[in-house]
Amino acid sequence: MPVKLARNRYVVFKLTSLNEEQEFSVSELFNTLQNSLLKLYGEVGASEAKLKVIPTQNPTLFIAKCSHKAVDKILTAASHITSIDGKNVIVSPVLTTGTMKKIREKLKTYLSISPEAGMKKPSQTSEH
Amino acid sequence: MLKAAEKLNIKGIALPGFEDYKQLNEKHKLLNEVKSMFRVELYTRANISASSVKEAVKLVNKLRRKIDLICIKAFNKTLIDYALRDKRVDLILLEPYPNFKITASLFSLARQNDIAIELHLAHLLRAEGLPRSKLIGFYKLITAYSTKEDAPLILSSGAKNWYELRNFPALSSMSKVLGLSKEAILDSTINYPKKIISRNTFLKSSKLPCGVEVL
Repeated sequence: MPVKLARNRYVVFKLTSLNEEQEFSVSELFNTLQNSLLKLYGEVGASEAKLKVIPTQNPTLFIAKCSHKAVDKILTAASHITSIDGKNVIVSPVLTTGTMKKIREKLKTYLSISPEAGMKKPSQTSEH
Repeated sequence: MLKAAEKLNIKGIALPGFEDYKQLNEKHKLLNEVKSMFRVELYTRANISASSVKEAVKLVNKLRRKIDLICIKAFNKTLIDYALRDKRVDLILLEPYPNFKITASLFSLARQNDIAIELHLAHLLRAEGLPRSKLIGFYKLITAYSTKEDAPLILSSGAKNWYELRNFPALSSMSKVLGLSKEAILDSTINYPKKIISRNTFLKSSKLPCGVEVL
């Protein structure tokens, strides 16, 4: 029976800044998170994380897809971020799930945003 | 900073700057005005950075029961020795690389007198590369001693700017790097601060002398 070796985790992060209009592109978010991961855990640690960033329609939220073994590393690396592209922000984790479906459900419950409006299909996500 | 704290759903913040006992009334008035504007509980805090024990004792005498938290910045061995024995002191702030040796006896004394050792995680955000790795090593040493001696440890954001503030999930993920267990993280970020605040709020309102316990 085939065994799936690498399970994924989806971590939703919230961006907090004093300037409400600040929006960041996927590549900016990815580069910042990847750099923070690289600084904290080195090249091997960063490669093991298998990081991808998935945007949401809510500009203050984004999803980080990573290996299930690297969730703690991603959370720690994100907590160490103080600025993205020279603009000061606070990145705080909101929730962690194993599937995108669960994220939709949980966000609908806890953050009361429309799941269809908030999420993009996996085909629309940018991969790095 | 309070606006950012509100956005992060932080329940309470201890505001430093209440060291000058002559200006306490004015500062309390200002605090009461600000309190109503935000959905964050505000507590008063004095970070005492005295050069001698005599000066520290004088400040503790003047400030006790007038503010919520009394914290002593541990600069030298004599000051930390005094702070660990004075039960009126709530916290001892360990800034990175003090000029005395960190030993297990410090933490043992802290446990006996119920005085918490505080670490500011904002130092980790400000440092990068080798300084950060040294800092993590220093903080790991402190958390290891604290776990071994079962001494109260408080991990706070220690923010000087709004973007250095961290809520509980972020603080807990940062603390995992320092080798703390889930229970220890919960204690150091929520339970101990809550315990100290409730103890001091009770003492502020009652007329019981220090050291007397209500059974």
